[in-house]
Amino acid sequence: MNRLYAYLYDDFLTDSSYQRVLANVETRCSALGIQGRVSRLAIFRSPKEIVEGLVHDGAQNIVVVGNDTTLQKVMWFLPDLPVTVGYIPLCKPSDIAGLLGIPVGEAACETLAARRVETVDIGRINERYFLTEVLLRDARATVDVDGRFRIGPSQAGTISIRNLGGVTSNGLAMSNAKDGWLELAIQPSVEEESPSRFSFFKKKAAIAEETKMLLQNGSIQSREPIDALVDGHVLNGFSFSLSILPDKLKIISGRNKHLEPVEQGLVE
Amino acid sequence: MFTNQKRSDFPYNGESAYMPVTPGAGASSATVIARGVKVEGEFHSQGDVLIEGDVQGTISAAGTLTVGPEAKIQANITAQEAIISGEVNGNLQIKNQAIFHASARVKGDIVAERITVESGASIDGRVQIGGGQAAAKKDLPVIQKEETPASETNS
Repeated sequence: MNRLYAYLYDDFLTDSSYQRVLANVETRCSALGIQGRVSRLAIFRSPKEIVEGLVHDGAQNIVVVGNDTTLQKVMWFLPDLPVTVGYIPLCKPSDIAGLLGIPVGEAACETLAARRVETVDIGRINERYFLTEVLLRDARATVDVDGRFRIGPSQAGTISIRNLGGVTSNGLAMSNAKDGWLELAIQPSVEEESPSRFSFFKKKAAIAEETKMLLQNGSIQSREPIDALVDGHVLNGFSFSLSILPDKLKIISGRNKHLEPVEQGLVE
Repeated sequence: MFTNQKRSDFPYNGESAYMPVTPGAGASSATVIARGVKVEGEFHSQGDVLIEGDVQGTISAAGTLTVGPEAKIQANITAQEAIISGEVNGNLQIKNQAIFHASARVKGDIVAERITVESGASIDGRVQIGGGQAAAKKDLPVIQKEETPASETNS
């Protein structure tokens, strides 16, 4: 048993369909010398208390086992702990695993053992950390950037504040999790008038162009309460503060990672 | 009645965006203010800026500022270079070259090192050619409009 490693299994892995792959993962980790204590997430157990207990017992590497949702369940507090984060994705959604260059399944054990540690930025919305993005769908909101200007869709639109991942309007890579900036993207929704006199057939469509810029501090403001999807978790409110914490999280990634895909312009 | 556009034609569908990407896939580095988006305040960029939406306040860009044909700007502008195709109400102070395309509609004074004006462009204000570099070095404030009637230049 390697005391430096601790594994955090999602509760869905208790399903019998995952027993075989879990056994393979444990065998593989044991062979690689990185086996460690296992804890399981559960509905009535605080993931933060579980992880803090593991850290208290000497774990320096917290390996999340499950899928992207599992990672998102712990990402809101992990950056504050003195640990390196590992990830073994066993099923979809596994988009974050793709960005980190981690293969799905027991092959992720090899990536874990190779221990290529990347230090990445972490976003913060109010007091909550996020690794990937904040998403507001069909929102009538504005984003205040560094207290200097406000930007938002003239009507409603989808607003994204991304740290990791993202696509441009051309479907190309955008976000950079190592540059110390958050990327703001706005896609207005427009009413597309149709020849029909029935409003039912007036289709709401997203226009092709996407607004994009970078920010380090800001806030989201809305006159009505809105839902912000933060790493898959819903926050509701009128106002959300935003900031970026550069080089905040150590995470083990694979060789084919995509953390800094393209060059970017800067908005101060 | 029904749109012929396939779902795959929409490059971004508003769903979660953290998807795997192709390395080196070359997104543009410019800041983009697209159509249907409004900006109010002191907008500053260290790089290139493309504006297709509405901006009120001030704009400064360390790179090239491009104002699209549908853009509506009510702001004083400072930039390294400018390519104007839309509507600008405000003064422009351009360090190098300013290009005004045929669809450009400018109400304000212009200072630039070099100016190119396409036939059909409308400029209502004073134009100073060759002052862009000097203005940038002295960090001059943006020119205030005078009380005298503005002249219109169509070339």
